[in-house]
Amino acid sequence: MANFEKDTELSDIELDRLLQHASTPLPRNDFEERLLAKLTSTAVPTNVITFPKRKKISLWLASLPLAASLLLGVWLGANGTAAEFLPFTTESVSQNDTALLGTQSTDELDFLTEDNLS
Amino acid sequence: MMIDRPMTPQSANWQTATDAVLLAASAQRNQQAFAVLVQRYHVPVYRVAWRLNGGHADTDDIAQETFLKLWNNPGQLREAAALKGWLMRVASNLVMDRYRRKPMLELEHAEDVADEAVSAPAMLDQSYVTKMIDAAIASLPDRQKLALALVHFEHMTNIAAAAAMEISVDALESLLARARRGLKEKLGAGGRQLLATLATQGE
Repeated sequence: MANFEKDTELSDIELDRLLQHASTPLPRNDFEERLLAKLTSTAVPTNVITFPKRKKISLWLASLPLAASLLLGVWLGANGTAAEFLPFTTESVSQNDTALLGTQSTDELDFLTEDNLS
Repeated sequence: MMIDRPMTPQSANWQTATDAVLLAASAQRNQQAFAVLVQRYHVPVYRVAWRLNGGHADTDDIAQETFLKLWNNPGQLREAAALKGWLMRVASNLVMDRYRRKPMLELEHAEDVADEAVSAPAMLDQSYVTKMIDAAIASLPDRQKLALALVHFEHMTNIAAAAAMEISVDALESLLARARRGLKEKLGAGGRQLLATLATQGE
């Protein structure tokens, strides 16, 4: 019979001897049969994710705004200006701005330089 | 000249086929090939799951689910040589996921670790020795338990076990050292009594 020390920690050899007596569980005998039965009921996997079908938009319907845009481009190109479509001209815009500031021309805005504003 | 042709279900002798061949055939939904893989690995997978969940009744479900994952996603495994490690990793992840959801169950088998006030007749029972060792192992942290199960009980090399756990070999060795130290502490003086019992029974 082995003579074990009483007060010291278990040695590695002693621990290994104890570990040899740990359980060695086994699965049930019908493990494979049950698993294979599950395989047949499992759907075939796929790595492809299908997107949901979209509603088919009529090609003619989609082409209408494109055609309109093209026509507008051609027409504007022929006339060379879009001024008559705007509410006011760029000239009237500058006049309105100076009127709002109470000045006669943009030259008078020079005093608003960075040096004067500090 | 030998031509290395892929095996077909008609010509195959699956029992002698390599894991790589079996995996390739399994990916083509060949159940015979897959059955051989199950035969080869279901015992270690079951044992690791059992060890990790302290012998809980759902060990069988976990082992089955592990193989179903392989069947359903054979592409997840890039290298046939890593099959055993992959299965161990999947099984251990399944166990940990389950017990993360219901952690109280994990402790139910670890409650009677190294009870030193045990009667002498009980100590004479060798099954009691086994129960005490199992309980001590069950009380270890999950990662230490897994390292111990792979290396000590499934006889995987440190390199293979580290790969299965997706950690470095140093980290694995550290886990093993802590597991062994933990077991020594948990078993304590009771460990010597257990050894004495085994010695009296002539082991």
